[in-house]
Amino acid sequence: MNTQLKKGALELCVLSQLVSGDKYGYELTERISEEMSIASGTLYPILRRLKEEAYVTTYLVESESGPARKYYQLTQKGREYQQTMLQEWEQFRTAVNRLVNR
Amino acid sequence: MKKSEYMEALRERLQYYNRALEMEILEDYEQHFAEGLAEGRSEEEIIAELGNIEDMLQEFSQEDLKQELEIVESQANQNNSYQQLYRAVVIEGLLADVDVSASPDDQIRIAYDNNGSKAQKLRYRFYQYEEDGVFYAGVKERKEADFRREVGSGIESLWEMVSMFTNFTSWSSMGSINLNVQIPAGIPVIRLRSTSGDLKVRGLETRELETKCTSGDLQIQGVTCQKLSAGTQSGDQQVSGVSLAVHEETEIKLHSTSGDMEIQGISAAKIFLNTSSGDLSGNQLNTGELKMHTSSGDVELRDAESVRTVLRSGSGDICVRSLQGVELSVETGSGDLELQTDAESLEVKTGSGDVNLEAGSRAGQVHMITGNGDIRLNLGRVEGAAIVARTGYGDIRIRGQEASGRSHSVSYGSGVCKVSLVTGSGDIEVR
Repeated sequence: MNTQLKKGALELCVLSQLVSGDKYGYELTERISEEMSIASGTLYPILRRLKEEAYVTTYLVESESGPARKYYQLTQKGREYQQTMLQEWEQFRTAVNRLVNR
Repeated sequence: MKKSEYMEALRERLQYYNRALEMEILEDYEQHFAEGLAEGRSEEEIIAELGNIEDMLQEFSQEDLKQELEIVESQANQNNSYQQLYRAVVIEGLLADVDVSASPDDQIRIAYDNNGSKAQKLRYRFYQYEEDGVFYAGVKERKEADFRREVGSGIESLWEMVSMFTNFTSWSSMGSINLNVQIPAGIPVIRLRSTSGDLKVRGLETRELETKCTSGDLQIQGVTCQKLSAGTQSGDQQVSGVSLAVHEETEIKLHSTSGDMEIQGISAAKIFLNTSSGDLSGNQLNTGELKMHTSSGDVELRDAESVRTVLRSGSGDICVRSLQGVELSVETGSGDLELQTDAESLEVKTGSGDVNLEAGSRAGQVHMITGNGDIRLNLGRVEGAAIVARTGYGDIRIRGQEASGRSHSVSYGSGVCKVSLVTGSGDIEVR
């Protein structure tokens, strides 16, 4: 798949997963790898980038399974960005669908 | 693969990225493993799921990479230790000065210090790996491809600087690179090499020690081993205090193309020294067989015990002082010979040099031939001798008696020592 496209799609998936509520890294990567065959490791750089661009913030919660869990939370900016991307995605998907079904 | 190896590989690759990123990704992965293991999954499964490290790194951009200077600083000086049983240790110093000594415990320790310019620090790196139970470490020159792999793309200007450095820097203006190595006792084979750096070896205990220098000097001191071979091309060699546990296999072979060699305080079944143009010097040696060969250097041997000794020089002088043994054979093309020995059988030849020999009380056979040099033989400690002397033009004088002809035979005392002296144009004097 086109790298740029894949990158955008993955970002959208990650942000969308956070719309319904905060999630920690493992939870997020598990959720995404259930649906897509993707190396979970690649999601961590994406999460880091989203944080640097202030689309998400993180906070730590003590965990019984070992090190503290890092939770990701959408910021207002992140919500808006997710909405914009979602619309772009819908338009793109519709266009692709029309073209491939003709 | 296990978690530890995977994390180690991750850490190795992340060191080229900025510190905050490095720490965060390591934490994320640790967390991921902890969660996965808590769910009862195996380390292998989790690793498979996390996937290829290189793919993950693709997500980062150029800006996330450390500045080259940071990389340099983090790698130009390092201390490492390794603990495992190895069949052999191979150290390749390249241009570094290598200092090898005994480890106080069972760990191999290596300190790498590159004290040069930024370009020099980038140009050379420390390496270490293991293969089939053999431990390899040393200094390596980075090639352009290594830069791309380690530092990533966008290194053109950096590479230019480094290759300029290599092309235009003379050796003398380089900063020192040092490799300090500690090796525990009991590793069977140790091989040490250097190209232009010096090599210093002290206090090692091993079965087989091999050292090679191209243009650096070599110094070996206080080593215990069964077999030692040392070679230099243009550097000097100094070997002292080597106690090779004396039995059949103990053997020392030293080879040099143009450097001098000095050995001292060594016991071994066999000692061979070979150089093309350097001087050879042996002191306090104890051996069954000693061979010292040089093409144009001098040979000096003092305080030695050797059953069989062979000394050869093309054009140098040979000097022997207090040598005990059975056989001594000395030959030089144009040098002078100065010999004092207790050997029983003596074979001496020189082309144009003079010979001065003082035989010991046990001397039973003395053969001397010179082209045009003089022969002076002191038999003062021998009970009796049967002497045959011959010269082309010179004079013969035996025990104070001037001989009338060019050939003369004398027997005195017990006549037990058989002496034959031949010179083309020199004088012969026996005392």
